[in-house]
This record gives sequence, structure tokens and C-alpha cells, in this order.
Amino acid sequence: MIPMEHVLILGAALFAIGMYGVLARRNAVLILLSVELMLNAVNLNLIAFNVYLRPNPATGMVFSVFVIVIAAAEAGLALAIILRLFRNRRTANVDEADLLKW
Amino acid sequence: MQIHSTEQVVFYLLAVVAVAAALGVVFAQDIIHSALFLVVTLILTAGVYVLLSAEFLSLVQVLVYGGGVSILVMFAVMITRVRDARGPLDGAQKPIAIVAGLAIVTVLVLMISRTEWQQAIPAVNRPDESPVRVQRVITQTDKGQLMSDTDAIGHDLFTTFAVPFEVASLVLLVALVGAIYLARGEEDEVT
Amino acid sequence: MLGQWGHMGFLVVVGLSLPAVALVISFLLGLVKIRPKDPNAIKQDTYECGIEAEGSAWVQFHSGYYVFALLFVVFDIETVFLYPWAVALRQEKLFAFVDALLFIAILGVGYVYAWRKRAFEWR
Repeated sequence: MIPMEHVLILGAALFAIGMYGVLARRNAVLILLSVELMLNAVNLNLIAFNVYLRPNPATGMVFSVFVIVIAAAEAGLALAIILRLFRNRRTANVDEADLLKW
Repeated sequence: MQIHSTEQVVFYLLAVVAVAAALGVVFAQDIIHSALFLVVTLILTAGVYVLLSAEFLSLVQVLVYGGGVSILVMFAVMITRVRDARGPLDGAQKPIAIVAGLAIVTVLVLMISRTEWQQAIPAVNRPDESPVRVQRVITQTDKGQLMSDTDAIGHDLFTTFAVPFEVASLVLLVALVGAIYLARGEEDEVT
Repeated sequence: MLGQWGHMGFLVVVGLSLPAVALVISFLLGLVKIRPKDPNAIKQDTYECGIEAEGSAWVQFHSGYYVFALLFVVFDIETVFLYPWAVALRQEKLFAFVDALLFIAILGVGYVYAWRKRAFEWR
């Protein structure tokens, strides 16, 4: 059996890497990819807690199914917004989408 | 760190490659490479789910991320990637981001290692794959039948989580309508 | 736990090692000069159905591709929910059935919208 702490540490590492990506990247598609990484880390934690601590047969797993589904819906919508941004401004960089900022 | 079983060996292999691919996602200087690294990380995470006996989640992970989201990202990259839109992929705030990332991983690892977990299954003294498969998510139904994790998820989904299930379909509907509207644009409206 | 997945892991290892072995053998044969290596501009060119490749691959693709991918993802997710539904239906009986019908009906609205917006047509 894998120690639970090690699974959690894997989740923490993936989460931190994803957070770095969200903060450091300026291309909107890459920021979205990093967000997916963070959500994936959260899923890993939910499943680990479900399997090891077992508060309930499947609550953690149902949660992660919902997280995966909402993440996919969010990715679809966010990428559509990025396409629209690209069509209007010829850029996919978040720091160039600054029409409302001065 | 003591290694007790082949499961652990496989887990550490998967974990190391997954973290390396995740680093590839955030450090690659080509969007396509980033997207492919993300697919590697997500598929390897599906492998970790298998090791944790969450087979259904592993299937969903491969189906949705490996099949769906990666294609979506690839098409978005293909559409937004023209030559005049190139430039550095990282912003000027990169050093701050490194500090923030290191800070959060330190805090999380400290927190994980210092917490006393009330585990249902003790992680110690499990020399090898024991015949008693306690770690598997098998629970008894009222009639005494065995349930796999898919059964358990299905059961919860249609009892406790029936309303969130419907809300999820609404979210998908909103995403579908919104994304079609945004991606197709006004110029090809149907009157 | 690992026992039942061991065969699949073996399959993955074999599947990954086959192309790797082919590449390594090719590289080793190149080292001992058995495999000829004589590149020229035409050989190095990208093969594209026999037509000479022209311009850059950095072209902008039509956004219609994206709509198709999106439709695929949304209905992919629908199957994700329908799978545990199908497994649990034996125990949950009528309520789960009606619940899933409502789920399909709500996504059906999206399907009709996509149809009305001609998202299924290629233009």
C-alpha cells in the first residue's frame, strides 16, 4: 500500500507547479493548461482522502467526477473566449488584453 | 523511506515522471510541447488512480482529458498560433511566481507531514500485496452485495448528488451554448 | 491490487519498448555504418502527399474545428455520467431513470441549439 502522505505530496507538487504556471505565463492557453494541472492535483487529493480515510464509500470520487466535468466545461468556454479575444485583438496574451485598464 | 511492494515502486515511477512532465508544462517554450506534456501528466495521474483502486476515475480521466480536453487545447492552439502572435510565453512576473510556487509547496508538504491522519487503513506493516484487499473501495449494499467503485459512484450520484448531477448538465449546456456562440461569432448568425 | 493490472502494465511496457528498440537498433546500425546515412535537401523535406511543401505550418486554422471538438467534449462528458447510471440502474430503479432522462433532455436542448446554429455543418 502506498503511504497516503506520498500521494498527498505528489498532489501538492503538482498543485504548486500549476500555480507557478498560472502566475508566470502570459499566454492565455498556457494559463488554462496550468489551471487544469491544479485541478488535477485537487482531484488526486480528493481521491486519496476517499480511498484512505473513507468517510463515505464514494463521496470523494463523485466530487472528482464533478471537478473533471466542470473543468472540461470551463476549458471549452475559456478557450472559446480566447479564440474570440484572438479574433478581435490578434493576440492570446493576457497582458495585451488591457482595453479596460489604464 | 522503505519500499514495501511493487505498487509503491510503480507509484514512485509514475509520480516522478508526472512531476517532470508537469514541470515541462510550465517551462516549455512551445505551446504544443506544453499541451503534450499536460496530456502525459494527466494520463500518468490516471495510472495513480488505478493504483489507488479508483478505476472508474482513471477511465474518466483518460476519456475526458486524454480524449477530449487535449483535442480542444490542440485546436485552440492551432487557431490562435500564427506567426505574428509569437513572443515570450512567460511574463515579467516570473521570479515572483517561482517564489510563490516554492512557498506553497513548502507549506503544503509541512502541513501534510505534520498532520496526524486518522487512517481507515494503517499504511505501516504491509509487507507485500496482502490477500486481504482492504484498500479496495468495496462496500456492502443493503442486500449484502459487493459494490465496485463504479457502483458506489452511481449510487451516490442518484441519491445524495441527484441535484448537483442535474446542475452539471445545466453547466454543460451553458458551456456548449456559450462556446458555440463565441466561437462562431455574429457574422454567421442564423436569422 | 496490482495483480489484475499487471498484464496491462506489461502491455504498456511492451508497447513503449517496441518503438524504442527500433530507434535504438537503427541508431546502433548507424554507428557501425551498416545503415547508410546520406541526407540531402529533397530527402529531408516534409512529405506531404507527394506535393512539395510550401510556406509555413504556422497558418491559422478555421475556427470550425474548435466547435466540432467542443461538441465532442460535451457529449463525451455525457457518457461519463451515463456509465455509472447504467451500472447503478439495477438498484436505483425509477428515480435514477427519470433523473438521467432529465439530464439527457437538458443536453438535448444544447444539441438542438447546436443544430439550429448550424454548428454541425462545415462552412
